[in-house]
Amino acid sequence: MNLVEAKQHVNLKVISIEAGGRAQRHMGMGRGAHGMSRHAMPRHMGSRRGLRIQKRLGDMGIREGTIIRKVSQQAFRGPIVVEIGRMRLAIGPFMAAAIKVEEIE
Amino acid sequence: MIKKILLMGNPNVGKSAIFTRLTSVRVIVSNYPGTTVEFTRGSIRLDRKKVEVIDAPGTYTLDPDSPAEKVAANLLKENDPKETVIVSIVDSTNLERNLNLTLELLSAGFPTIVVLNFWDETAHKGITIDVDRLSDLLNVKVITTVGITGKGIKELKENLNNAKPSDFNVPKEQRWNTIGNIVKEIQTVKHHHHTFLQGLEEASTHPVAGFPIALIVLFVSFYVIRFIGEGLIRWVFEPLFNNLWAPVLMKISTLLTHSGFWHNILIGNLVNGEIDFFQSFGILSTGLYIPIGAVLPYIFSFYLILSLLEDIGYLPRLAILLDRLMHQIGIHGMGFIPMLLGLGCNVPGALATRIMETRKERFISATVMAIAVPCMAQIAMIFGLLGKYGFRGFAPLFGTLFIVWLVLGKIMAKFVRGESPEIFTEIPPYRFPYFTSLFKKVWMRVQWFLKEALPFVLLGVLLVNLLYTFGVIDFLSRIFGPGLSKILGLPPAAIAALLIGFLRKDVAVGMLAPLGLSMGQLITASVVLTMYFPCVATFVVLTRELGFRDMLKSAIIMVVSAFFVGWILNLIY
Repeated sequence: MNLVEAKQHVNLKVISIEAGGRAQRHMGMGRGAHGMSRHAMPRHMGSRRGLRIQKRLGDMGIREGTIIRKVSQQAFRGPIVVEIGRMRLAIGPFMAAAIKVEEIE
Repeated sequence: MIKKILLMGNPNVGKSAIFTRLTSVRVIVSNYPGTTVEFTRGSIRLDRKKVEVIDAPGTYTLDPDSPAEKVAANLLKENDPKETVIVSIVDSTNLERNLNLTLELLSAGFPTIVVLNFWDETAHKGITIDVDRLSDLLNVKVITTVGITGKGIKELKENLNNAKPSDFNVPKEQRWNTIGNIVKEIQTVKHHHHTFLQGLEEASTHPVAGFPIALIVLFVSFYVIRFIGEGLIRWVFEPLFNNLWAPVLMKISTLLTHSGFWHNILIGNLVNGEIDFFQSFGILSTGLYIPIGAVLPYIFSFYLILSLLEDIGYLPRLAILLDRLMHQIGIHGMGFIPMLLGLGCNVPGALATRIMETRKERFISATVMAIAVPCMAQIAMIFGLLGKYGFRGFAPLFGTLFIVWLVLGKIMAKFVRGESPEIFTEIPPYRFPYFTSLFKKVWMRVQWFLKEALPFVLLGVLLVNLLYTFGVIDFLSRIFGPGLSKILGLPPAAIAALLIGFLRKDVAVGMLAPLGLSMGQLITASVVLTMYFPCVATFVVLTRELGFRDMLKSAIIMVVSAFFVGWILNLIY
């Protein structure tokens, strides 16, 4: 289950942050930031782009094993608000989809 | 010997508040991440020696993701650990996340002091922190403060000279584990019930309830701004100008025998033998009336409401609600903040585009802001001219600008190369504003307006008179006038307003007053004046932010779209 599908107001444990799919395109690390098109980018950079999501979430304190709560979710694939400890964070839907979680007690 | 003090920390932990307290240099403090996008310098005296203090933009890490964060990270690289003390400012209600940067800073090897800010909030939130133990663990001095009231600042000052580098150094991979262990050891949290503010927090980002709340907030804000603005004009500034200043000017006018070069420059034209502050266009009449009589009241009321919303912490919530709308133009919800600041003045609006991560987003947000967001000075003058038509006058004007904003944004979102990342931002808790700091902030912004705008307005009015006197405007209206009338349906003399609009838009709108335009013409002229080019102050900042090439592209979009939209409005009216 990913963060978009997860229930609100229950404790969720982050199992993994998937470094791939559409999310990384929405992290601002596609062609613009490197100054080259996605196709021209050397293959090894693919994994680096994936790491960007993990890094940015990590900088804010979200990594494997973190307990978070979903507070609200805007309609029509809008941003999702999560709570980590006493911090609240707005996360876009593609990035949220990359965060795999499970419900815990 | 220390020469520099760097205030570093995550966004929205109160660095600017502490900076203001330390140096008494006033900087804007708000309750949303990304208020400070540039570093500010100030200085304090330590042992009778002047030491520079730098307020860095907030960053979550020394490995930056946005230009504002890069500014902060570069500060560390540029400074010498032997001469620099780092004050690592931490939100004490949010230890775990904040300590990440603190540990990064400690391993950089600078003498460091850790400051736990928002100390007053820990008590409300049922948090207790063992400060001495934290100090032992990190091997640096830890001080608790409340930046906005100044509590703990004295202690911070006294300890700056004794700051030492810490030997605390954990490898990157173990950092979060270490933080977890530290927090477990020093912090206890009592569970407590939801407060009223927390209830409001939930409601204002609720996917359904959030929107009516936002509508009410925006509607009330608009009415209060207009109520205070109009009230000040009607009851304070108009009487002052009409009853006190006009008689003085009439005496000067008599002394100057009611005509001649100096009379034209200082007093302007008399309308029916009287001074008309909107139409006379002398430096002492209209030149003073525009910035002080017509614009200042609105600048004050706008910044009062904006500052209140900023300090409470409502803006990031609005950004979440508007995220879907903003994505229509290729930027995420936080891009709404440059638009809102631009409504006060386009210069801070242009600077605020730095909170956006990619070049594409910054280009789009800066361009649509400069094109479709009129500044408060201009709006105040438009209110003055179109006010008598009420809603019938305002609705087509602001409606057109909104459509332009959306359509141009959508086109740019499609064709500008680059990425449009998603929103990813911290949302601060609601805070009760401290009224002294709120009024200081409003006063700072009003002062800034008087200092930056007043000379330009006077210069603009002087220039108008000189251009008329030397026949430049007649010359230009003969050349460009016919084309202007054909495309925009405006009288040839309106070319003068377009010329002066580059200097100050409020003066330009004021220049429409003596032309006797119809409502349709006023709307067309106001829209074109908003869109066709930024004023010189905004232009300078935009060129610096976007670079010359992107500014050139942006300028082409502005001129072309302004005349296109003006032409369509001319067809309608």
